[in-house]
Amino acid sequence: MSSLAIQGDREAGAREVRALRGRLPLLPWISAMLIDLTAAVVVCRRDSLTGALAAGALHLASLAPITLAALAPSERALGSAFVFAIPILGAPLAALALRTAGRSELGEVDPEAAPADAETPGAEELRRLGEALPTCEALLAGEADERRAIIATLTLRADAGALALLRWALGAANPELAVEAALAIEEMTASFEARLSAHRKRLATEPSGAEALAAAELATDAIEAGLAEAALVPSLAEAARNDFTAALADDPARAATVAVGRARLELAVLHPDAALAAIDEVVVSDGSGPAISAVELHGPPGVAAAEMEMLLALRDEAVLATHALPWESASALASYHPASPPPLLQRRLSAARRLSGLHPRGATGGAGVTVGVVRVPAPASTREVPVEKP
Amino acid sequence: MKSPEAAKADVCLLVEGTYPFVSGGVSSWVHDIIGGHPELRFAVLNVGSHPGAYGEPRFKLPDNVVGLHRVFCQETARPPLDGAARADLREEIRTLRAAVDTEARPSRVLAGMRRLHLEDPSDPEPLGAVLADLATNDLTLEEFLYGRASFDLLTALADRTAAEAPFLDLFWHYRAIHVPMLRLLAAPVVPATCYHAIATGYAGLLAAVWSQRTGRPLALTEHGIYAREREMELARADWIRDAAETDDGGFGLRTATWAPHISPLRKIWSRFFRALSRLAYARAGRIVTLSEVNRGKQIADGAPPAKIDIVPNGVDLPDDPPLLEAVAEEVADEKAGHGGAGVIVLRSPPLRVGFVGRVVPIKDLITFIRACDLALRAVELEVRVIGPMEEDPAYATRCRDLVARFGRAEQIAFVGPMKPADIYPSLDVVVLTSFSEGQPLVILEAYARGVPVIASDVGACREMIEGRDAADRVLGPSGFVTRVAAPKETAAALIKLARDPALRQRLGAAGFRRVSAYYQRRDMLASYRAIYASMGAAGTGEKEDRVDSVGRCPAESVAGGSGDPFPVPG
Repeated sequence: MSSLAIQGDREAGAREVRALRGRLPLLPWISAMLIDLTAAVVVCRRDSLTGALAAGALHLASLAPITLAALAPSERALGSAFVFAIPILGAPLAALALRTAGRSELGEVDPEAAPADAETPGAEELRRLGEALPTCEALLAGEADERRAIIATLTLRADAGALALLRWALGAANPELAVEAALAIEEMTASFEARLSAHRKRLATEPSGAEALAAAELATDAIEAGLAEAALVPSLAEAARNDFTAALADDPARAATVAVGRARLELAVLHPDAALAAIDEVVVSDGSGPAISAVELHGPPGVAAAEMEMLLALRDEAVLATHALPWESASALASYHPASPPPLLQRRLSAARRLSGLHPRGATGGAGVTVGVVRVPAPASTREVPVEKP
Repeated sequence: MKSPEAAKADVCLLVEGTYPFVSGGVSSWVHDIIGGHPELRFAVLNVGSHPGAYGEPRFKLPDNVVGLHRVFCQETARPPLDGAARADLREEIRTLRAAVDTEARPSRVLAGMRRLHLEDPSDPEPLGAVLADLATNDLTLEEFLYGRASFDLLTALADRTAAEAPFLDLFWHYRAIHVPMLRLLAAPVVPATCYHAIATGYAGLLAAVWSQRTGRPLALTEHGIYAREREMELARADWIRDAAETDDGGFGLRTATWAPHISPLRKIWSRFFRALSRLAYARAGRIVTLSEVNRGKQIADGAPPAKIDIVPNGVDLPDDPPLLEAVAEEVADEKAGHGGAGVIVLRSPPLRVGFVGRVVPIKDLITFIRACDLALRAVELEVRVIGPMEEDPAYATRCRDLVARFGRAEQIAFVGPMKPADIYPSLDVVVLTSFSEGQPLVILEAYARGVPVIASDVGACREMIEGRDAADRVLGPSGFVTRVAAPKETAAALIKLARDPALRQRLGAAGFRRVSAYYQRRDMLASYRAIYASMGAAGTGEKEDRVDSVGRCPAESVAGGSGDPFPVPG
């Protein structure tokens, strides 16, 4: 009865959108632009009334390919308006507008792109946050709708903090909260395993440095967030190390990226010494002796400032974790390391996580879901809309 | 929909997506109910998702099933339209809309939908009127999809309940919610002496509408709580954004605190599912649930307490019941050093552990495997996963992979489905780690064989293991209850049972006593026989009501509503 059938994936959705884009015929738009270009040439060469009239007639003629094209009335109207109002550039602009699937897609941030700089919170947001309950209290005290909304948000966030909250909720006295948290964790785990498995399959059939890097970063994300099966972390980490090595061998220019990933991985599996070594392979010291502070360090040419900043932050973290007391080894001290990284670094790791796209659109990949026997549609901006034909 | 058989049914069972096309607890229960009442003739109405969603029936229909009918919520998805076809369709819609708007008559179904969404859900009074409105079936799918009045309702919804949601999303959600409902309302009534819905939701709505149209009584049995299960599934739709973008870009406060902001789309779905439940509760003369826990949830969701009966699931006791007392005593003797002639040899390790059920995510087999891996570090186990694996092959593969990665392939075997009679004699303990359960038959079957159970704290599991009232609790616990997704707790219970055969025997004996006292199949069937009899279904067959081609009955048989209850469209 309660068949929980979550269908579709992001990649399938993307294919669907690409298919939609590919169906618009290009010929009318190219023809309209060429006719307009001819009109421009006529105007430039014959500086007379006749030339202007001829150019005007040609401009009007540029509407013909659009009006004759196999387009829906609204598409035809939009295309004609563009072509008429904006000579030469109107046709490509109209084609671009019509070939864009969904709503506001051009303005939408690519979920896999690097995040924008942090926005400064406004007064209203600060007030709202000030009045808000701590998340764990809201989970316990809130109504069912609110509780589910929080869990959905945590699932979408999918970082170490979110997972810690969900795991905490597993022990809640409210069995419904516990079940919902358990389902959320299960879904995130299933999503991670499916993606890792896909990377591994692609690596097996068509090995590439980029694919190896993607697989390694995904595994690192999952270990760092606490999503990976604890008993399997050593083998997962070993596979990720091999993938990082393969990625570096494929393209030495990605040394800094690999070092960031490798350092995050080693810190997550409590091997700060290895993290430090991975970073120091890339970061070089100005002085002749060993580096004594991150300020003196710099990266090789070609390393982006943001990447360098992250490397230095990770190095600080690794140095802190390896700073052993005389009677304790580095790894013993490392075991006192908190489950989640310190807030300063967490922000940067969050950026790294987004870069590797652990959950760009949540566990369901932005697809619709089947609820009981009905299909709940995906957002209009990401899908081909169904049409109910009478 | 298949055409009904000639004979009129005594009972029409309305199920959503289950019997006979999906195996599982509810389907087995329906099959058992039909088989257990050979004197009654049953019709089965299956509300499905879309044609092709289900394969061949998983159950052979008993001889007393006189009709199997199907209604689908959606049509099969069409391929995307190209520009020219889209233009043609647009023209077709324009013509249709003009025709629909010209008629301009108020629809009672639309009025019912408006009440469903916009009126106070805590007020029970309008429910009868809503049902009467919906029962008129005076709104065609075309009128709903392209009519002005329907669009006006959508804009009212947007203004009053979903001002923050993108209108385009609301538009498609509005259709996704109501198109299945209209398809069901248009389905011809299956004539029967009484109706029995095996869930609320769309099946419950259809049963309530048919009961309203024909004046025939309605009983409702809920195994899980439909609205809550659907809400949990809806929670998976994480693109229904409930908060501002969570990538905080360095502003980390949003994880630590929660500023309530619930998606209006989620609210609309949630409210709708609860409304469907309330409509079925309001129309049903008898509401049956399986456990105290579920009874409490039904009352909280608007079911009148006076209508609710608890009828637990039941199993047949074996012909050769386990000699639990003797075994338990001899175990105690042996522990006390009184072994000797006649002592039953205790099973030596490994402990035989069974997971019995479908290999699907809701059963959380992953937690079971993790628990077994943990327990195997301390004790010897022989683990079997018993149940069909074809329902979700990806999940089954994931489970097998996990076993392989743990290096436990020798100890944890996937054996596929087995006959119940063969399962339990070869097990020492049954483990159930589900995320969601009603009242699992697996637990009762294990008890009937004197096998203790470790189960997660979902559905009725706790009261089945620890007892539901004082008299039941006197029997003692018959296993262990763990939190959901808690492999360490499950592993701890397994280790305890592996190391203490006497405890195992005691728990098994308590289970057998419990199932003998409270969960016998004959008692369950007797309860339903009485319910059916109280609704006039005595197995004698009755003269058919006059029901027209769209399932409308004579006006005098309809309760509630005002004026002509069934105006003829057009």
